[in-house]
Amino acid sequence: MDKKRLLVGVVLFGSLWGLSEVVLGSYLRDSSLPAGAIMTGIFAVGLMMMTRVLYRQPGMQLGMGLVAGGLRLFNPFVGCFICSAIAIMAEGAFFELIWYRMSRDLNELHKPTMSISMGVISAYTLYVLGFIVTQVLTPLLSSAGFHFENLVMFLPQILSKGLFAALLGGITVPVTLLLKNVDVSHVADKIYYTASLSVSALCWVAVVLNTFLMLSA
Amino acid sequence: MGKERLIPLVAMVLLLVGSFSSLYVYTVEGNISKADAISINGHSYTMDQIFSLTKQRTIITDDGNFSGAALDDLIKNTGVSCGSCHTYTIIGSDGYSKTVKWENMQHGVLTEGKKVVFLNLPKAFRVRNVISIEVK
Repeated sequence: MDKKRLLVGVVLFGSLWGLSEVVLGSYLRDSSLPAGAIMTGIFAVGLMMMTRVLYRQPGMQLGMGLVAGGLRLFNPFVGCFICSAIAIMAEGAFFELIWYRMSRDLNELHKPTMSISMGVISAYTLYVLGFIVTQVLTPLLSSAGFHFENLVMFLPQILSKGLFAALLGGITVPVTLLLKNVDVSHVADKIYYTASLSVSALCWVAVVLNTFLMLSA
Repeated sequence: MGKERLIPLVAMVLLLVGSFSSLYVYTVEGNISKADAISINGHSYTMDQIFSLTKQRTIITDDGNFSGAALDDLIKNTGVSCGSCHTYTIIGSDGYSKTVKWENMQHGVLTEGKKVVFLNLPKAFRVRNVISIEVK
């Protein structure tokens, strides 16, 4: 697949991930639902897995993390937004590392045990490491500073909360693999670029509008 | 060991880590007293005592106003003479803890709902259901 198509795919799926973090993530947090686990187990793992299945191109997920994290910077209202943005970018990098040894056609995942296991591993690792990155970066970028003992004391909670993300990931990856027979390279250029760029632009406009709405509220 | 064995094994280990952590957290939280008291610098104070000892403060944040006992005043009135000589670790019932400086305490409140909120720190520094404030 040519690089231009891949780049547009990165922007599209990264923007969808960023939008879901900003809008849905905030909504879930306000509703006192386990936002982190849901966002990681379903949206982060689901969207990154989707690109892995559709484009079969390692490296895209790192780019998606950069785009999604970049979009998160445009919504500076929930917690430490720089830290959240870095945590999202880190999730993209961790996903790449976890899936580094997998083949491009993902033929190892033909057995449900393997796809469920990879979902569990991906979601749990992304959730726990993403949480730790945020817990380290937020204090570092504040006037209070980072204290290692604060992280150690809360580690059992982080490891515990990751369980729900892992279970969601165990469902998300096998479901995403249903797209295995879809071939995006057969989509006509005109339709592919128009649809992808329009949806990406909509995501960015929605986040920027959301920011202005919150500013004026 | 091949991928077909290793990957399910790693997944199983992670699930066990998550399950045992949940069990640990549940047990620890279950053992924490539900009493209406907070330990401050090693001494136990009820919420009524805390609010009678300290002046009130209201802070205005991005997501609303928070009123409660002024943290710096609370520390002074519970026997700490040199506030700026120490750091303060605020611990919640779930083990969540945050260590802050005196300058942060001067802009912080302990609400009636036992939640600590700071004006000059990100939301990650809000500790819910506070059980202890340690002076270090």
